[in-house]
Amino acid sequence: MSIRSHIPVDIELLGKYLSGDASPEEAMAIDEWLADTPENRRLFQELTDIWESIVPGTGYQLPDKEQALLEWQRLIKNKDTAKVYPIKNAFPFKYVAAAVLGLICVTSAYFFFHKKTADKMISEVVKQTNTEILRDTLPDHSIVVLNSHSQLRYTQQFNDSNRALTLHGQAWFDVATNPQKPFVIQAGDIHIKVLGTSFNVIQDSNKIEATVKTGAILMYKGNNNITVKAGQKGVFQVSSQQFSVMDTIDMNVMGYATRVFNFENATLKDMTTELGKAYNVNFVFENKELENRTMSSPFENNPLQYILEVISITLNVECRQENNTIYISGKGQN
Amino acid sequence: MDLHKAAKEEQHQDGGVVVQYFNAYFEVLHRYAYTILRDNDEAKDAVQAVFLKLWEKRTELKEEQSVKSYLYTAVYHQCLNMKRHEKIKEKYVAENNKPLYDPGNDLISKERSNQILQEIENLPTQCKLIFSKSRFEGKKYSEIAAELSLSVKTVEAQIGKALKTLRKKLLGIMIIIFSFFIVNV
Repeated sequence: MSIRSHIPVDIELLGKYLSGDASPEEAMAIDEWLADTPENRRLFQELTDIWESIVPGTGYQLPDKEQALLEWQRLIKNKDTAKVYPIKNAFPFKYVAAAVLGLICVTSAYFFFHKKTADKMISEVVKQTNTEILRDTLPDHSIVVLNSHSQLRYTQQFNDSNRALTLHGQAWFDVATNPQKPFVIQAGDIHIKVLGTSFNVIQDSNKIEATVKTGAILMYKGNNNITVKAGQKGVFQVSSQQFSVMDTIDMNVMGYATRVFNFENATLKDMTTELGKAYNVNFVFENKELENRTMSSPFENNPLQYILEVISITLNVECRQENNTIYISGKGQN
Repeated sequence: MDLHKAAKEEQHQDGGVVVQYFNAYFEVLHRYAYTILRDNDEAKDAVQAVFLKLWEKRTELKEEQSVKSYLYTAVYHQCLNMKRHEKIKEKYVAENNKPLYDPGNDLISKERSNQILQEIENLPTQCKLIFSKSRFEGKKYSEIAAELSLSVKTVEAQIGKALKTLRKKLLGIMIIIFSFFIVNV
């Protein structure tokens, strides 16, 4: 019943995989291909041997699965019962553990003697982007992709009893489910409550829009509220203070985070703006007339090179990449 | 009430189904994570973190195919995040700046590695350069492409070509080593 991936597996793709450059879809295709025949597994083993033996070190070793499962189950238990959370793996524990311990001693003494003032000293985490896009994992393992010129703030207490954050601008969220700790985003003067889902929020002075990809969210202000489900968009108009739900969504608004686009009669200028954000590149039109050429095509997390090829062929233009800049040239006549 | 459905739902609640997924996918996900992180322990941490998230979502799991896609994608993002946070890359580069071989007693692997290094030397210039940037400097295809003003497709093709050539040469070496081994036993 499983749906086969249609990505063909060859040595080039295997090389890409060994280099750590394979997309999730490509990795999946390779694992399916490996399960197919012993010949495939032998070829893979040969290439892995070549790859590993060039550089010293232990090379690839599969950890003991039973042991890994036990460790993982312990992590879950800690998460559920105690208030002690496993220190995030991304934390360079070894190097700062001693420093943190020292700090705890000092701060607990400080808190002990200055409890009242300490309560006011809730420090805040602020993530601010300029032109770049920030992909990050929150303390509760939710994923956030902060679009350019946006700001996300939350306190150090995030994830203790609830998960509250404030957004200015635009962000994509893939929220880790935890019914005990609702995930609440404040955007403008409304709130968006989430149980576990992925969606995009755009907040500006006129409106607040939340486009939901999976799951459902609740948008509310005072007693006013709407539920927005997957495939819908919830809008709050600041001028009229009204909520509304729309049944069609534009996948492209989340493209900077998901790299999933569905361009329909889009101008090349609009497309390159979106693609530039998603792939962290700049586009330069050497022939300004090309900006207004239009085309339609869906892209689902494809490599940028593939997208550029599709554009080149469809619009008969040339895309030339130099570092992070892509120059678009050509007469552009079909 | 459908008994089968009830049993299934209960399984969803207690997370037993997540353990099944763990058993089914740990190996392939770990290997994938390793290709990105180049560290067995980090790769294990990444996969465990992803299953922690899956466990949190256990009540809403749907058919296997979408869980599988989710797992691969989540591992990918987890690894990219970890890579950025921990600067594994620096460590990786530093490690590779060590002398290539400590005088070890593993004759076969040393012999073979030297042969492979020799074969890398024999690759066409462009092919050798691209392959070395990927393998020794741990650079991403996009970085190599940008650095050399090439397309990512070209980088893919050149590394594919390097592996094809090395494999062809290596087959001969392996046979030699193998016979050497037999003679000496």
